[in-house]
Amino acid sequence: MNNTNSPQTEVIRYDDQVVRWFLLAMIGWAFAAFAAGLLIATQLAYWQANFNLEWITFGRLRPLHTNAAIFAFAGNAIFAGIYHSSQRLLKARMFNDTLSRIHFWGWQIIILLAAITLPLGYTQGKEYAELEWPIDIAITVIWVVFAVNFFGTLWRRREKHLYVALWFYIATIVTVAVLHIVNSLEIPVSMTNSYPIWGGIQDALVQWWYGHNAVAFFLTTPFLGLMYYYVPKAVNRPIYSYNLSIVHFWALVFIYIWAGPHHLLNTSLPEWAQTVGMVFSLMLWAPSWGGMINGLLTLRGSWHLLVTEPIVKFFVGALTFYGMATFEGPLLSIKSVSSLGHYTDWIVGHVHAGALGWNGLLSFGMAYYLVPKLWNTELYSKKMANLHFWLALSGVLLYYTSMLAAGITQGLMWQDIDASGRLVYPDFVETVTRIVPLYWVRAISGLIFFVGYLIMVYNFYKTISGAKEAPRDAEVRVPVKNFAATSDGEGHRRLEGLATIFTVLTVIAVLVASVISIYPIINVNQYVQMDKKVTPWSPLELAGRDIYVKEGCYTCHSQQIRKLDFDVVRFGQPSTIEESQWDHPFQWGSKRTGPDLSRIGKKYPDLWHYRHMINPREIVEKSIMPSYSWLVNHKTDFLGLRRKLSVLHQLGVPYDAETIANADIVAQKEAAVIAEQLAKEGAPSGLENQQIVALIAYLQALGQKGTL
Amino acid sequence: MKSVAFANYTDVTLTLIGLGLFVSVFIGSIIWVNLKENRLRYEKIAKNILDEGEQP
Repeated sequence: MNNTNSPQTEVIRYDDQVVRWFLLAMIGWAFAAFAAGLLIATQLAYWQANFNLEWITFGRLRPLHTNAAIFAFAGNAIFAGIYHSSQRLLKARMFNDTLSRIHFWGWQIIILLAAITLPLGYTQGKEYAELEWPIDIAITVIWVVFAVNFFGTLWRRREKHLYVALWFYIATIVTVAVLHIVNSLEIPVSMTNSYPIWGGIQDALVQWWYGHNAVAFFLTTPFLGLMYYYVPKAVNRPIYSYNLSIVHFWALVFIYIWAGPHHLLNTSLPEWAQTVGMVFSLMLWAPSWGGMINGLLTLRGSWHLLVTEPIVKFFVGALTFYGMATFEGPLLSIKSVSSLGHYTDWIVGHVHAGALGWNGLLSFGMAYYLVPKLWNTELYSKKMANLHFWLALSGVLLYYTSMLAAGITQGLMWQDIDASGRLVYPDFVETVTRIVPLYWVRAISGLIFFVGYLIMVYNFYKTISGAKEAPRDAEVRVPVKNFAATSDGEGHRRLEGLATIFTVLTVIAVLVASVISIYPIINVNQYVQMDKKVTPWSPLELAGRDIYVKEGCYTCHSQQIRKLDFDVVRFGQPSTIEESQWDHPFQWGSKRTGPDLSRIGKKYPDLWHYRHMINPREIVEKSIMPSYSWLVNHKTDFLGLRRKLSVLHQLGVPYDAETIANADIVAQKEAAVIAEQLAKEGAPSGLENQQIVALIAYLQALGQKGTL
Repeated sequence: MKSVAFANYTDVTLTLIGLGLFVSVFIGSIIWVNLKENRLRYEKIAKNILDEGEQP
């Protein structure tokens, strides 16, 4: 609402209502993210906490936890901060109130759908991109709504110069759109199922290009934008070096996008791609630390606030964790370090140093800054806020150190080979039971963090309920817009005034790296000698594979034996590019809570798998794997197999027309053979229609499809 | 042509291309922001965000 009071100035009212909503959504959804995290942490320490309920088993809850943490907690924090700071930086109300509300409610509905579908097992099986295709489309639509609203506000702005925080927001909006669309290209099989168009190594590289840059452009650049706004505001001082912030921005945007392959070191990914990922990850040290130092030095002359102001404590804590995580990330990207850390809990600790330490503390600091302002009141208790800070800090530190210790311990045990070339710890479970005490420490650390969060909720409840007047949107007198959307400056100054050109340059910086690093892999057949003798999954094996994906087995088991001696001695010959070429999606995994399964096929009889799935402790006494007893009761979807094979055929998987047309009949015949064998070995008879048989068929086929 | 190019895609080539681009952007932006007129302007801009605007 604009009131023109004079030719030179006008009064505008900011849309703070949508900021309040996003802030409350952040606080509310944080409960789901943290509670789910706490539960799955407990499940790893105490397997009985899976309660033998399929909907809350680790494999299904872990994607819920990560999606809730990233898109619900961090996502709503980002939107709250962007809507609040952008209006003030641009001296303009958001472009369109209706778009703001569509954005808010649309995003909450997406989160709700994720919270419903993931426990039900509707997943694409790709980390941080698990949501099925209808939700993917909804995300795209809502993101476009957000983009239109944001860029519309840029267009209507009354402040010519785009402050650096806005650059980070622009980079976030355009890059997340590119990442989400490319990684989510899929062909639907049904309303709740789809196959990605990428397969095998292509899917692996596209997924980790997405996965890494989801961290970069959803959990880093927007939070850096928030940091560049809220840290100076909190200490009432300008950023230490605006010059450095410009170098920080361009260097970060330019480098980050290249680093995805560091998630695939020592795998069957071509060496050049691994080297590119490693080198660019190391280069990230420079801009990341530049940003951290810039943030911390903003407090020069105001360090006394660290003692008295909880907001400053949260911000300094966040920046410190940002520095630590961005030091450790490149370190873990060195191939030799990765050989120790990859697949272990070290990575989990690293991720949480970033998510809880950097994103969490910054979001909490921002919330403590915003809540009193947006509700026109004082914070109920500074003491509680300080207590929250210390609980959050000790929780994250304990989490990180326990997982660092667990990861290094387990990594070293995996590597331990004696003089005769044999594994010192041949039983995988030995390396798990050794770190279970540290899993308990991690669960306790999560509880500490959670208690701190609950104190914040109570503090905010008292703050808001104690407000003497109803919240109202801020009004401010600003100069009337008196410039066109062009700039009279030169060079970079001119660029900073031209939002469109600035956005295009950012997109180019991102796309150049993406195209160079991904395009060759998309055209993998052009330069890699593919072994055409690798046969695709049979209809029943495919049905079993879909169950494997549905149950989230990839959250604990890898399917990628690295080119490392200790991996080869333990699991068999290194995985090859060819072996997973028909896998849509790829299932290489990123964590080994259980052993690699690439070559598990035919290693044990069918009955072993049957008994192991029903009660893992019957086979491996100290196993922490959940029971999957419901697989005996649930029926295999034979009829849906024709459509599934047909879709995969469209994607290039060499199924012939006869197999596609008779997929259900072929699968039933395969199932009958396995069920008969199981019955002979002592399992109950009549299992041929049950999911357990399909899953056994798939497990028994792993490593059996290609010629080594 | 394309397959030949991809067949010769090596870690050294790609890394050097990327490294060269990055160094150009990095050095270029450092030089640019430290030009005298830009430095003074940026100092002013950095202070702008502390201005909440005049209350009506």
